[in-house]
Amino acid sequence: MDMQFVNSFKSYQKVGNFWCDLYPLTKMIICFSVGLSTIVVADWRYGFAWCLFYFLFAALAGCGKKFAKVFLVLFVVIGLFLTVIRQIGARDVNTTVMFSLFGWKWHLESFVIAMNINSYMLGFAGAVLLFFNTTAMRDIMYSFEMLGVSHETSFIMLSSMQNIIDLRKTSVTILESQKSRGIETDGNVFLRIKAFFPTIGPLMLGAFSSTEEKSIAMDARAFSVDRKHTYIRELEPMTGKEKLLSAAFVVALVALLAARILLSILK
Amino acid sequence: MAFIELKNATYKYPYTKEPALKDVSYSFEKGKFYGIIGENGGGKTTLCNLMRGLIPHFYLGKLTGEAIIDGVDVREWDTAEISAQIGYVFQNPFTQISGIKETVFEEVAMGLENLGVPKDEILDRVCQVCRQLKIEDLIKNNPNELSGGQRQRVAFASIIVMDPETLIIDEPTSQLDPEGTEDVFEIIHTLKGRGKTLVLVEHKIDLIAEYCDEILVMQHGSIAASGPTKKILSDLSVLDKGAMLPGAAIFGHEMQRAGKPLREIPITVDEAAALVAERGKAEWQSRLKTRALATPTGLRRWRTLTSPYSPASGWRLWGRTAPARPPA
Ligand SMILES: Nc1ncnc2c1ncn2[C@@H]1O[C@H](COP(=O)(O)OP(=O)(O)O)[C@@H](O)[C@H]1O
Ligand SMILES: [Mg+2]
Repeated sequence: MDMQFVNSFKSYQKVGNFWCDLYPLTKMIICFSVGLSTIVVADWRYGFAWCLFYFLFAALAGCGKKFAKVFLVLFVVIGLFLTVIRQIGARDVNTTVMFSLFGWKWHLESFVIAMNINSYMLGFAGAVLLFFNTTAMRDIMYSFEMLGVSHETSFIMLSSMQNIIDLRKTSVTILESQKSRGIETDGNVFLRIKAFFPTIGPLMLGAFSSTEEKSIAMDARAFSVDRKHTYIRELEPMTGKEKLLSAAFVVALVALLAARILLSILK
Repeated sequence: MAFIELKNATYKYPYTKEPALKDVSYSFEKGKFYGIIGENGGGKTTLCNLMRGLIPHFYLGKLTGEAIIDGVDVREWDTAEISAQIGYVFQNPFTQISGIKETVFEEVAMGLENLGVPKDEILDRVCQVCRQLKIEDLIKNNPNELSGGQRQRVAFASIIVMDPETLIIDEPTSQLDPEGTEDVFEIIHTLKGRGKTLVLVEHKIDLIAEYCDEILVMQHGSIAASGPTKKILSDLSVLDKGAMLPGAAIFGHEMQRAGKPLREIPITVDEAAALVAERGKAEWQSRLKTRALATPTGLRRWRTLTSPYSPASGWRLWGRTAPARPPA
C-alpha cells in the first residue's frame, strides 16, 4: 500500500506550484477580473499584453502546451474572422490603405478596430481558458460546495463531465462494431454522418439505462443520507494573502471601469 | 426475530405483463447467511431489489403483499435510511463506479464521506478494505479505467467499507477469476463471523454449499425450494428447478447408484471426504471382525481392541495397559 499517497489526504492538497495552489475562487476572481478588464479597456496593446501573460502562467503551471493549442485555434478563428469582417464593413472611417489584396484595399483604421475587438474577445476567452486549464473541475465544485452549493448539484456537474468522456468512448466502440459488420464508417464527411446516425439510438439508450442504474448505485453509497459530509480531499481555504490579492484585482477592475466611464463623459 | 419478512409479495415491473415475483413469502433472520440461486430471469435480482426497498421506491410498478424490513413496511421506509442500514452490491459492476472520483482510494471512501465519518477513520477503514480485497496496487488508478474484475472488487470494497449490518450481494464474482472469487467468499465469511446478515445471489454452487446457512431457489418469480443448505442441496429435485447441485452431492448420489451409499449425501468436499473415510473404516472394521472371530485368541484380541477400558484393569490400548484411577 502506498502510504505516502494515503497520508497525502491528511494535509491540504498541494501540487507545489504558486498559481495552481491558489484556492479555486482566488483564481476565478483574478481570471475574471483580468478578462473583464480587457473588455473595459478594449485596446489591443492592453489585451494582447495579457494574452502573453496567460501563456506565461499556463507554461508556469505546466499546461502550456494544452493551453496554447486551444488558444491558438481561438486566435486564428476569431482573429481572422473579425479582421476580415471589419475590412468589409465600416467604410466611412477608412482612410489609410495598408495594402491591396487582388484589388481589395485593406484599411488601417478597420484593422485597428478589429485588433481592439480581438484583444478583448481573446483577452476574456483566454482568461476563462486559463482558469479551466489550471483548475480541476472537482476543485471548482469543492469550493462551490464550501460556499453552500448542494452535493447533488456538484455530483451532476462532475458526472456530466465524465458522461461526455464515456459517451465518446461508447460511440467509438459502436462505430467500430459497425465497421466490423461491414458498414462504411470512413471516408468523406457525408459517409461519416451517415454512419453516425445509427449509433445515436444505442448510445442514448445505453446512457439512459446506465444513468438509472447509476443513481441507484449512488444511493447505495449513502449519497442521499442527510448528514454533514466529510471531505477526505481538502483544499486550503483562502488565506489572508489570497483574499488581499483577489481584492486588489477587483479594486483595479472597478478603478478601470470608473476611469473608462469618466473618460467617455469628459469626451 | 425476522429482520426481513416477505408475505405473499407479488411484484410487476412497469410495462410488463408477467409479474417478476409471484407470491413470495419468506422470513430472513438476523445473523444468518442466505444463498439465492436459480436460473437467469428467475427473479433473484428482483427479490434483492425488494429486500433493499428499491421496490417500490425506485422501481415503480405494482407491489402487492407485504415486505417488512426491521418491523416497518417497506413502503414507509425512507430510502436514504435503508441505504445506511442495508448495503447492496449490484450485479453490474460497470454502473457502480461513481464517475466523479479520480482515484480508486477516493472512490472506495465516498460512502463514508457521505456518512460523515471522521477523516482519519475513513483513511484507516479504506486502507483495511483495500488490503482485504487485494486492490492496494490500484488505489491511485482512475476508477473509470479499470477492467471488469477490478471494478467488481472496487464496487464490493466500496460497500463493505461502509460496514452495514445487513448486506445484499448480487453476483459479486461474475467477472472474477477463481482466485478473486475465493477472496470475495473469504471476506463474506469473515463478515458472517462478525454477525452480519447476508443475502448472496451466486451461481458458484460449491461455494454456496460451503458457506450458506439457508438456500432459496428462485424459478419463474417464485421460491421453488427453500430451507437449510444441507437439505436443499442434497436433493436431486433441485435440478428440475433450474439450479445445480454441488459436485460433492452429485458424487454422493453416484455412490448411491453404484450400490455403495454413504451414510448421507455430502454437499461439500470436506464432508464427502469424511463420509468416504467413515464408510471405508466401517468396511475395514467389519472385515477385521469376521477374521478375528475365527480364532479364540483373535476373539480376545478383538475384545481388547474394541473395548479398551475395563474398570478393573484400567485403559488397555493395543495390548498396553494404563492403570485405572485409584479409588478416591
Ligand atoms: N427493470 C426491469 N424492468 C422490467 N422487467 C424487468 C426489469 N428487471 C428485470 N425484469 C424482468 O424480471 C424478471 C426477473 O429478472 P431478474 O430479477 O433480473 O432475474 P435474475 O436476477 O434471477 O436473473 C425477468 O423476466 C426480467 O426480464
Ligand atoms: Mg440478476
